[in-house]
Amino acid sequence: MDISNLDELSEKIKKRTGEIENFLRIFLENWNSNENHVKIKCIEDASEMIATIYFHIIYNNVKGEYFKHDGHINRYKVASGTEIACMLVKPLKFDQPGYNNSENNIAKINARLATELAIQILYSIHFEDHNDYPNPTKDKAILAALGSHTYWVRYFDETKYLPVYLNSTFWEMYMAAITLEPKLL
Amino acid sequence: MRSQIKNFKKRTMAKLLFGISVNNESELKTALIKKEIGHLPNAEMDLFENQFVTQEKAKRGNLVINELFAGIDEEMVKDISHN
Repeated sequence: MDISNLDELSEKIKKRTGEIENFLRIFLENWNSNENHVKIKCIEDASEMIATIYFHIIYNNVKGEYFKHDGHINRYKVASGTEIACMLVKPLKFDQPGYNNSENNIAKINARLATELAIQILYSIHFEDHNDYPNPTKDKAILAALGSHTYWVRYFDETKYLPVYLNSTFWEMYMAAITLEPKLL
Repeated sequence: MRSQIKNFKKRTMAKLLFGISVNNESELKTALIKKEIGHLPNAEMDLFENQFVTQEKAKRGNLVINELFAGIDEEMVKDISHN
């Protein structure tokens, strides 16, 4: 993409905003419809902020790799960049009396959203039919890996570096693990 | 007025994404050449455009992820309520 044409970039951001908005709305509706969950709300223009920062991250962190290869970054880096962008914006806040909007608590709920955005993107691209989405709820290794990953997403220090590559390797391995034939597990 | 707004958005975007201040598209191009920036990585598989994402997929994805995270969510909600 030629960045001297900002109209084109603007259009890309607009499209990505729509995609994130869709995932975010479904996440909010379902989270808040569960009576056991603490109620949450989203800040204004969250999707646009995530989309814009996503482009910023990709430009500044993936550019070098781009020039070595064919001009495309893979789906794992798209997921990784979106997840990190979500954590930079942290769009969710608690909307229920008695719940503390402390930095620590905000990080927890936003890490959950960030991970969901990454999985939604990967599943959407990888599987043509939504009925094929894997659901490895009985695989303890995968659940443990997801738990550890979510914990890491909560607390990585975004002021020091933005680990797009490191994070994308997790998603690459995650997708490899959940799409393995059962006999290979 | 519309073109002024458009230009403002472009200037803001240039500042935000590339850290450069410009007044118009011509200045932007010059600045990008000086910074030896020609292209942005083509990171964008346009998910909707290529019909990767449908409402059904997004809803199904959310359900699957909710099941995957059931244990983690339960623990997190308890943890938050104790703070």
